[in-house]
Amino acid sequence: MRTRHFVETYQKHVALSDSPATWSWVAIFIIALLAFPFLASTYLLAMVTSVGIMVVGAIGLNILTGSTGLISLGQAGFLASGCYTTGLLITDYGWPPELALPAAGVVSALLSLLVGIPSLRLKGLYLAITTMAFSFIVTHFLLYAESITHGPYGVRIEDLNFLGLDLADQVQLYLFVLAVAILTALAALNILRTRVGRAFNAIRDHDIAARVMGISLTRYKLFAFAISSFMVGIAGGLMAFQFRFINVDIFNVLLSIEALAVIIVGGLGSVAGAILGSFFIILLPEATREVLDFLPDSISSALSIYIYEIRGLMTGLTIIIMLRIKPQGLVGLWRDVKRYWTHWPLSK
Amino acid sequence: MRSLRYGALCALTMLIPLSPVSAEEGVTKTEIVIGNVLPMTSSAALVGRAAHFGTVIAAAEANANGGVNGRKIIIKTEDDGYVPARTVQGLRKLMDEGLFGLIGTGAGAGTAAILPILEEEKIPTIVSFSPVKASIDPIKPTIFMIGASYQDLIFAQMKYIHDNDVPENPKYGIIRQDDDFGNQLEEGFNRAIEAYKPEAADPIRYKRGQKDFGAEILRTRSNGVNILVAGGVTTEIPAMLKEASKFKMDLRIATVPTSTLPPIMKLSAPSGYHYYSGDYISPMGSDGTAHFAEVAKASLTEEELGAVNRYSLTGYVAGKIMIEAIRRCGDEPTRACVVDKMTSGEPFDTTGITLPLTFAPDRHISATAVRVLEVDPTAGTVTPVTEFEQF
Repeated sequence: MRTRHFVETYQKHVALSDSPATWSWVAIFIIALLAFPFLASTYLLAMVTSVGIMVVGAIGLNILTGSTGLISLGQAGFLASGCYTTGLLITDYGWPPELALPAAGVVSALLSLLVGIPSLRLKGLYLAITTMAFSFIVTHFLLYAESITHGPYGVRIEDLNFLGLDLADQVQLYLFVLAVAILTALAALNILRTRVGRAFNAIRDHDIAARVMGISLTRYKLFAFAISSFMVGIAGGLMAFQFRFINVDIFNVLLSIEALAVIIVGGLGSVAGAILGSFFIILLPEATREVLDFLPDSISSALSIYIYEIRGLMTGLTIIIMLRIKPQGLVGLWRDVKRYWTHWPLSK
Repeated sequence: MRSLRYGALCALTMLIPLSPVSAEEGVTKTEIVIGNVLPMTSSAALVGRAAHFGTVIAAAEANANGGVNGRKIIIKTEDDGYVPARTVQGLRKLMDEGLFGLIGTGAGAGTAAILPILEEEKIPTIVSFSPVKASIDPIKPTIFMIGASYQDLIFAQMKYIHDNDVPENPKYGIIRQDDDFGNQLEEGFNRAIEAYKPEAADPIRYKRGQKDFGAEILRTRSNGVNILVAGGVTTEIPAMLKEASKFKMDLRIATVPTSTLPPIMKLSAPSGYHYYSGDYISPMGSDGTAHFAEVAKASLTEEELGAVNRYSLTGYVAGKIMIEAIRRCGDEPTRACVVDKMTSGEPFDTTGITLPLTFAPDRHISATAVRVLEVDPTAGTVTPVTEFEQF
């Protein structure tokens, strides 16, 4: 049993983890995820693909909100710009998906600078409202610039070959999203351990103190916006691959709030939290449905007309209870469980 | 080591296969599954639920008569919350659980979103909830549509007003939602403007979910509009009428079929306006719907009956046609056979809700003739003022 943490070499110091057990768990998790599509149903596969896309977006938001302390309600706007960039470049301009996907990240990152610059003097709720306004501007543009965006008719994407992968195939799409999610997680873990990541944390904890220490607030806040939005834009591009029909209806303010819920429920400022939160928020309605399916037929039929409202209520209630019991989120819960088993049978 | 074993166990648990395999999807020895993906929640729940219950009534009627060649019809409905991305998810879930045919296909954008999947999977589908031209133009082998487009519904009313009820100094205007639904209404409006060349104001768009129409009605009034297409989906229509009544505007009003739903009429009554609507089926309570009403009463609970409305009729008609096509395929129904039977030209009886409907290999649409209705929300009456006519 490990009781202390001593680092003796530089390699160990810069390693993501020096614990063999941690790497074993990660390996098992990835092997399970790789085997998953060959055994799971297509619907469950589509759900977990959605989780993967949510993970990419949530990690991006976590860098901005969890690590840098900049609250954003503009995620729907960045997601929409990424999604439409990919869809329109493929459909209207004949770009290959291999270029259209990174372009989604670049366009979102550039747009984030437009929001970031005027937002440099804003914090907390004021920043949240500003970013929300950006989201409204984006959806308004998508709806009314019909000659560019197809307006309310949406965009249908036909050709989806990405480096030899047929992304119209559910399994191949899942594996592709999984690869992007893993790369995003690794990128975020590395960024957060660099000088840049430490600067983000310093700004989050006390921006004036960070400035006194020589951290350029302008540069690092814009950097946080750009990195975050790049990842969210990529998530938007993946959404275009998944649905193959994009329409402005899904990019509403509720989506931005849901993204915030993901990182809060998962655990702010943690990549693992973004992953756990994504699984929780996307799969919770399904879990609720399964629970309700176990009800006796007499109760089910009595509730049949209200069943959809009951599901929504149960989902909301579960999130409230979860945050009431464990404000640190699922990551906090995971740490408690880990500590309990490490110390068992002496755990308290 | 213990943690490794525990981890391996968890990983294995995740890999339990979840989907059954069968010869023809959605068909077992005892059951045939027909699906809906409909807005059971959201602002469109009033119509989505009604459509769902229409399909339930059609299935219950078939099952009460011994099922279809000995098999029971099962209706499975997924909620898309009026969001196209969720229509896709809902369809995938139904396919996963075993789906033979699809009736409810979500709203306009939702239908458009699932068309590629329906084509790829060759699922027999009847689009009836929200007729979208793209469903059958160009023709897709397994997809059929019942009902006139919104363009035709609006054009029919504007033609009627132009021919029979035109006010002095007529000026036409439209307030419509800023989505594909609103676009279809505007296309119908524009068609009438091009046909009759009347004076018309610029279309006014409102954002989905908007509740107050004070600004839009003020603009309509300042534009001098006296023939208005009130292009709301459900509760937006009475909200527009309420604002117009504050200014005592003298209006001829065209609407979509939701305006004939009892809750919408009840909300519209205080405004004092009569308005027009258009439809391709018989109104609720008419002789054409007597059989439906009888079966509905026998099939649903009191509470469920409260959710039945005009959209239940289209759900019922689509359900009847799908079930009859399956029945005509005999003991071993296949998707290909159902499509063959649909396009055979043999009529499908809809118990008087419409004339018997037919499809053909080069015509996957039916029930496109429109009848203009006059709605008196105070009296709660819906009166046809024209016969069914093609537009």
